[in-house]
Amino acid sequence: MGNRTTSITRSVGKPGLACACMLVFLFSSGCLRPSGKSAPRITPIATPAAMAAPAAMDAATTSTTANGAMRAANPESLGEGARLLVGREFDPVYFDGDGTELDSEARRILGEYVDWLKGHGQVWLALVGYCGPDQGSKFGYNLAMARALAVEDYLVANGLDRKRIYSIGYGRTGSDDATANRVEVMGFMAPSQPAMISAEPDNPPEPERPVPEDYR
Amino acid sequence: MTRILHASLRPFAAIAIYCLTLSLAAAQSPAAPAQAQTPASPLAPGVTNIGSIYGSGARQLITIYVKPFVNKGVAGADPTLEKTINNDLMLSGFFQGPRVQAFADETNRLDQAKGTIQFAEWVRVGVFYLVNAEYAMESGQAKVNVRVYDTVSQQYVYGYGYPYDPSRARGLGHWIANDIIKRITGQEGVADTQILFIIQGDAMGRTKQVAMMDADGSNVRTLTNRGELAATPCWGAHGTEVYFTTYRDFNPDLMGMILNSRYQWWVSRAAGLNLSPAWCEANQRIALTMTYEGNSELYTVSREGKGRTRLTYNRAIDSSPAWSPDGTKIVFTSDRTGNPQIYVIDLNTREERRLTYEGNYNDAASWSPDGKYIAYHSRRDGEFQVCLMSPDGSGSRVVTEGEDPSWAPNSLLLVFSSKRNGASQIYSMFADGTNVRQLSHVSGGAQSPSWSPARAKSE
Repeated sequence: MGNRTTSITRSVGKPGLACACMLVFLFSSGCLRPSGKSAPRITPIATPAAMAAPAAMDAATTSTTANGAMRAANPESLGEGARLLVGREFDPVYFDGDGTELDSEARRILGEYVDWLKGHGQVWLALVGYCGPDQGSKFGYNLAMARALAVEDYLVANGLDRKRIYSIGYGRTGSDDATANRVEVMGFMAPSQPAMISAEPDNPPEPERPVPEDYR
Repeated sequence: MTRILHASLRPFAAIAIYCLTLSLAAAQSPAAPAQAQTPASPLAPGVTNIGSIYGSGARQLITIYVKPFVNKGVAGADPTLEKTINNDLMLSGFFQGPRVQAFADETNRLDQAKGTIQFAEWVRVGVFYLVNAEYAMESGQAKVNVRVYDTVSQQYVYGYGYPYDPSRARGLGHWIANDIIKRITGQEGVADTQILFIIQGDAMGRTKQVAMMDADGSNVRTLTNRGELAATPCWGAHGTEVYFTTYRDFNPDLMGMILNSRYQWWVSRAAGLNLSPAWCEANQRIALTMTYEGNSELYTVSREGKGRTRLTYNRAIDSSPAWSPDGTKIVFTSDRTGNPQIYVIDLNTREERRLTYEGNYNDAASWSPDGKYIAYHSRRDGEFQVCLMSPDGSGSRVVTEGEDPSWAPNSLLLVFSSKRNGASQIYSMFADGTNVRQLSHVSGGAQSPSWSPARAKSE
């Protein structure tokens, strides 16, 4: 139990922070953000956390989920210059109001992405779904995720390997216009050496009846 | 490691609690007339039953005045305690301050001049309960002696000598406020509970941290790392654990955390969403939304993430689960009719039933701990409104503007987020919509509040 506990703590602690840094970096990096004609322009910022992101990753950071999708990639391929490595940008896919259906324009764009991605097997995709501020905070996550999954499913149905894609539901955005309802498509270079760890949940310590904490 | 630490600390904590209980019993017996005696005030009964508040007109608030504390030789006493008690009493939803503060202050001076409490004068200025407290040194220990009077019946309601430590004045204030509320109204106070919520980090709102504050909005502390993206925190086993969704490993996974130990573990890491957990103490299960089978469905897992059980089967988005207090039903949101509505599923029969028909966007249901009401939010004319209804879906009504309601453990107060003053902040209110008070003051915004269960009582 003791050894197991230690290993859990390690797998959750340091690499977790690294991933968080990476995530912030991914979100805040202007380079990764597609500059679609109607997409809101977001100024790149570098948070202290992102600046401090360690370049090397623990083996435990990357893992494979039940369906084989990669959870995390090498941050070096997601950092500055990822766009240059990938060689192109991807416009976001937009949705109507409360919907998760892909319209013909979205299908056309995604079809074009599939064609391009089939010729560039080293490029993997992160899909980040958003919804507008008029959605409920909880339901909005599901809607955003459903949108990302709709894009993922469409890409897979058109012949893209599912392990090259991972989808995120970010939830609500602050912007009030129609561009809030979108899925952002970000390309990054495939990690060179994906390490595998078990996707089984880790065991927390046995439940204990807590001693009432008397701060008085 | 954590377990060893806990086990080794347990005897000390037990002894400390035992001593505390003894000293309380000793201090209480001569002063207080009877342990659970609720004074027969004509004002009190109206507030004891939410059923009478719900749907009825104005609720009578009890006017209470906390006299400025008198210090009899305790060094380092500061106004924190006094302020905390006053604030907690007002937040409880039962009380109001004197209508004209100057009259109360004047009457207080009269009391001091005469050396006794002028009950008739207090009634005349509209104060029906008085809190009279003093700091004093008793056998080398600093104490705060609190006495509460009913001015109408001119009765001493209760008195108590609390050990005073200036560095822990806030916690003591919550404790005293709860005692006063209990003695006057007969209701459990929630001043010593906590609220979980999400702080939106930077100006871009790109990071979200899980944070916790006391029920009066003080003592805000974050539980997750800076730069992390976390969502939908809920309280877990025994009220000492927290479950939340985090993108720490680049997928919205469900993480468990033991408070005060920072011990963390993954509860659920299926591909896709592992979102909006809800813990049920009655059957020790977490209900959550997962998408690993391609669509948002409801599941339950244990706190270790074991024994995954799927509850819903349809092509729509099913989300936002909340348990009934007895753990036999789960209320959730589904857009199977084209827009999000609230449904309830019976876990024994797996029978699903739609509850909401008003409005075309209802989400974020929360079942009151006493089982009598379901709070949820409804989008009306583009604005989210906090609504209440009975568990059978009847009697729904809009309470106030806001979203993500969560019940206090006494089933009388609700916490919710609202953008009424600009950025989204956390507010609390009495369940009838009165006494709305802003709790959080976070620059980036605060959302997704979750009120803790009642504090574990020392047995």
